[in-house]
Amino acid sequence: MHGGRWQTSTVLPRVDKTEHSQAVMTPAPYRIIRRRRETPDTWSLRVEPYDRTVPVRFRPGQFSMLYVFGVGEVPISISGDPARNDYLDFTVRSVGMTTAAICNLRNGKTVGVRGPFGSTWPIEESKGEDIVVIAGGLGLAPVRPILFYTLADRSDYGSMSLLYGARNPEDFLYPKALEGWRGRFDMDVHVTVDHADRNWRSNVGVVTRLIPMANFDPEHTSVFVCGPEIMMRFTVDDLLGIGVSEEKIFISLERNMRCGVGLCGHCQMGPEFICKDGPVFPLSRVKRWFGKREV
Amino acid sequence: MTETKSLRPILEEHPLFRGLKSEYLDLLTDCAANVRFDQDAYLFHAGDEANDFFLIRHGMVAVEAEDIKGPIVVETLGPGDILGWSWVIPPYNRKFATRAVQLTRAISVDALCLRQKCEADPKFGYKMIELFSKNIKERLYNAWWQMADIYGPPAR
Repeated sequence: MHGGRWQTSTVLPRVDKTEHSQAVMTPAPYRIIRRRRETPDTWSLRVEPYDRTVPVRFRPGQFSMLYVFGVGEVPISISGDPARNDYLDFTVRSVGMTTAAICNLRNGKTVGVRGPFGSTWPIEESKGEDIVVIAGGLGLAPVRPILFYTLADRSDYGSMSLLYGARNPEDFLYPKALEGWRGRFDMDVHVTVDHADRNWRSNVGVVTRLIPMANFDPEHTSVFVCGPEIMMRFTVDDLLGIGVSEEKIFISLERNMRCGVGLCGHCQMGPEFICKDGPVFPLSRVKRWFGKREV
Repeated sequence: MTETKSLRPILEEHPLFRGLKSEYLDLLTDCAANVRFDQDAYLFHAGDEANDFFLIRHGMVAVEAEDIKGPIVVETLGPGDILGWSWVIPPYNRKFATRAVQLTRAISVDALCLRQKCEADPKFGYKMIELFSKNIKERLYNAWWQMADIYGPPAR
């Protein structure tokens, strides 16, 4: 654990024989119960444990290792509602052999799940603050649980803003959810794309250009950022420039995670293991290493 | 004249011109006018002479590149943004078209008028170039970021 109000907490799965979180190194079998195509190469999968008497638990920001038997294992952020204890949602882009195999799994098929692993977005500690969630591309998946969580207790937070950038209008994840969030009077949603045809009547440009559109008090705001590292670097620079504290900017990092528990060392970044100490970090803790190559 | 005078405080508060010397604001104000564009009206087309630039006050403008499949929107600009740099750099021709995505109000600055004032007062001219270079730099960084296709699939 890393103490302090604005530190994220490292949450290792509890060794509890009554829960699936016991599965630290051995994948537990889960069944695909729903699959939905998000973009041409990205799918959302809903999975439930074969043993349905055991509750499924995770906290926003955590990830699981998904294993396709005989193919391989990859870390995938949990993108669903943390209040649900009967299934898990994942959003997966088909970019390699294992992720392609996951995306090809049909309803009723089995996937192995280890975890949940890693630190969490500090949303409990952010109560009373304005909340700004900034996501780029597939980065909306790891921050979506924040929205489920905070919107369930909306009055506990100040203003809420979601700023989301994607490649083009066809590449937005969760379009129905986005529509629902945009329809709320207690939430500010701004989206942008890198390019579009002229039928698109909203913003075109980089996601940082949405920051001035959001209504928040930089001194009393927690910002949660997830997306490609270059996008997070530009975003962090702009946030610091308007006075958001580096203690209150949280980023989710991605590295080559293998074991999920900080044993194998594949995901080491400076002194941190992304799988165990992260993936969610306050900027203040990782700024020295953030954006640097070969660390 | 009355209308032109009323633009001075607006120019003074614009982020690009904040802190500009009073005499320079006067020079700028002399070349400024209010304009409005209905939805889907073009502010200018690619190839047009760059005889003005705009400070957008309300609405949204799409910067469009012509493609054989039709126009591609490469950027949108909104309240507080500056539209148009081609007036700074010879041969003063537009490279992109710009269209009002919605009803748009802006301050238009006459570039011919401003260039004359820049030539007459090189210190003022240098200040204008300095301010616009800052804006051009930010927009170039953003354009490179967009071109990098960072949300696309990773390179194999």
